[in-house]
Amino acid sequence: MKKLVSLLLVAMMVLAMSACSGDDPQTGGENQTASQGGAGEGTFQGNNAQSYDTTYKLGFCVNSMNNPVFVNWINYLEEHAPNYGFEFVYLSSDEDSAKELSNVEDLISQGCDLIYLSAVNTDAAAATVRLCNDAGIPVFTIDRILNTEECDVVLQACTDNYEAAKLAAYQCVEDLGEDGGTVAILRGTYGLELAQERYDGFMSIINQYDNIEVVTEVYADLDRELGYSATEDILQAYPDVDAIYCGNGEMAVGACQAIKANGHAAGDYFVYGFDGSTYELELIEEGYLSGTVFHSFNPMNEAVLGFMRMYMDGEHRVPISLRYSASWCDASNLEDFWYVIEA
Amino acid sequence: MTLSKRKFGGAAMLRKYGIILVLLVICVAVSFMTDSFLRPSNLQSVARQVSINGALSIGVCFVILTGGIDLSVGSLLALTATTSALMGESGLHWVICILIGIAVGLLVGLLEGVLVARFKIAPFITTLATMTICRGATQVADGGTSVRSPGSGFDNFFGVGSLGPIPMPVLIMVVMFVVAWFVLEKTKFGRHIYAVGGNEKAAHLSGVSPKKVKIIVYIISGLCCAIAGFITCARLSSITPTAGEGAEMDAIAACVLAGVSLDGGKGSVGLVFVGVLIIGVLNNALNLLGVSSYWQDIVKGIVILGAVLLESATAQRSKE
Repeated sequence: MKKLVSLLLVAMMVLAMSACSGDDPQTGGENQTASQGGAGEGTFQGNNAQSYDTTYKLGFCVNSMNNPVFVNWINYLEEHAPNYGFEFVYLSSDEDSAKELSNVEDLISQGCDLIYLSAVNTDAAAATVRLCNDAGIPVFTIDRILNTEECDVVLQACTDNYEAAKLAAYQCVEDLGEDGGTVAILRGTYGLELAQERYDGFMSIINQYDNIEVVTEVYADLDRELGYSATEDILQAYPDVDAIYCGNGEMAVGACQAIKANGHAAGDYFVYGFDGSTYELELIEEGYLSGTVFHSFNPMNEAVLGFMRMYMDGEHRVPISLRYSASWCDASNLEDFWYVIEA
Repeated sequence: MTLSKRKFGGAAMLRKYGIILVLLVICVAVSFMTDSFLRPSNLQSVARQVSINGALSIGVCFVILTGGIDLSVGSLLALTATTSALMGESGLHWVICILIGIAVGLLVGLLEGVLVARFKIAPFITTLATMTICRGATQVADGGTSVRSPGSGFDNFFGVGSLGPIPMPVLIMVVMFVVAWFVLEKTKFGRHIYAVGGNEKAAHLSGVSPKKVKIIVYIISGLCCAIAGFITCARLSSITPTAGEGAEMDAIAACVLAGVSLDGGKGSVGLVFVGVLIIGVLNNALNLLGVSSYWQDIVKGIVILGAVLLESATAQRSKE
């Protein structure tokens, strides 16, 4: 029996080694042609799959898949990346920086030619990007801005969250009217830059009005469940609050559900969201959500794909930063945004 | 007579080392499915990826061998690393930061050990409580934001550096496993651990102090958490307040895969190393194969169940 087991093991190891040595030269060859054929045409060409001789492997590391906005990115990229001659693969970090690092290592092992990253934590992601830098793999980011003093990123794309947050503030000022009123704020993760910008932008307008008072601010970590429980607590502590501003869509969905569950009618409170997920649009339709900031993620991703293609084709003069403005979506223009989501 | 003895020996071998077979089968299967798996650079990154879980599993293994359980390892990882990082931020040399981090790990371990051994609180409850306390303490300490690691010397030693072709975190993990194996298999204290886990009363009657042994295993686990924390922090050159969330489950899973009995007294730390590798290889393979992250957890759960079922089936057969 002992002999049998050890024989079996040896046989397996031999098989494993032969599997490895048999296939390696082939893939090496593929990689070479990919890097040679890259230089040359630096022209920006639209959605035409036939015009690209070389296909590159694009690895996307998304910070989690528990936010519908992130899932939308993946769906969009999966559909559109092939148009730019990219083979698209993705992994989710489940909001864990250590997993993000492992994921990127695995994407590099898979032979990805470029990495697209939505970082979990911008400090920790710098170490992850340095790994790509060492391997000579270009990195593009979306949504969360990394510190480029510590690592090299080709292009960073995100919403101008500070300006976008003002849209919610203008709506809030209009809804509360001349008499003013009270506002509660559900803030995103403490220390996260985009969460801070969404707060600062909102407050930059609200602070100009003496008759609007912010009664409480709660960190709900961009999470639906935490948004729900935080809103329940707010409704207990400040039943007379007029408006609730939420720093992302998931918290806004949680807030609306808490308002529903506590027996309030649509329109009892003004609730403002931030993202423009399908859930939020449905809540606007039902009347629980007054409106939401709608990101321009589809055009943003489209542009990033275009610049990625330019970069891989040898044109390294691409913008280092893309800041997109957002739109305000409420019951009056809801139809236009359903159209965008379904497109 | 000799024949039946040999037969029994084979079944016992399979039961004991079947887990190695499982690892090899997974490795062979994966290497057929993707060429990237056996590339040296990928094997290196798998090794680096398992080092954190490896360090944690050693501590958890010690605790489980005495019949306890340690749920606090993930949170304690975050707390020790955050403390060290904050000390680094205040300007201390990284070696001193490490010592402070280790001290925190030892202290929490001591607290857990005393609660379990002296106050007879069930280990599950004790470490559930310390798990939430440590997570909370981490967030109080860092104010909910990430903290930078105590410097490049620290990063090189625990994370990005390497000795020849072997990355430092892997070297550290291997050394830890060798030391743990030596302690458990070759020292009197190791025999005491098995004795306390196997039959506490009998151990007590034969002159072993179960209280002392129990307190020490939690302290060892605390030390392992601190080292795992340093590796996490060095690899990312920063530590986030949510670092190590859910890490206790992977560590316990590695022990269960290795056949460490949750009742205590049975199990080998060498096989825990294999269990750690199985989880690491599985994570890596599912990523390389492009399995959707929704499906990855399901596959992992099934493999763990399958391995444990296989083990219990062979155990039954060898009893008959």
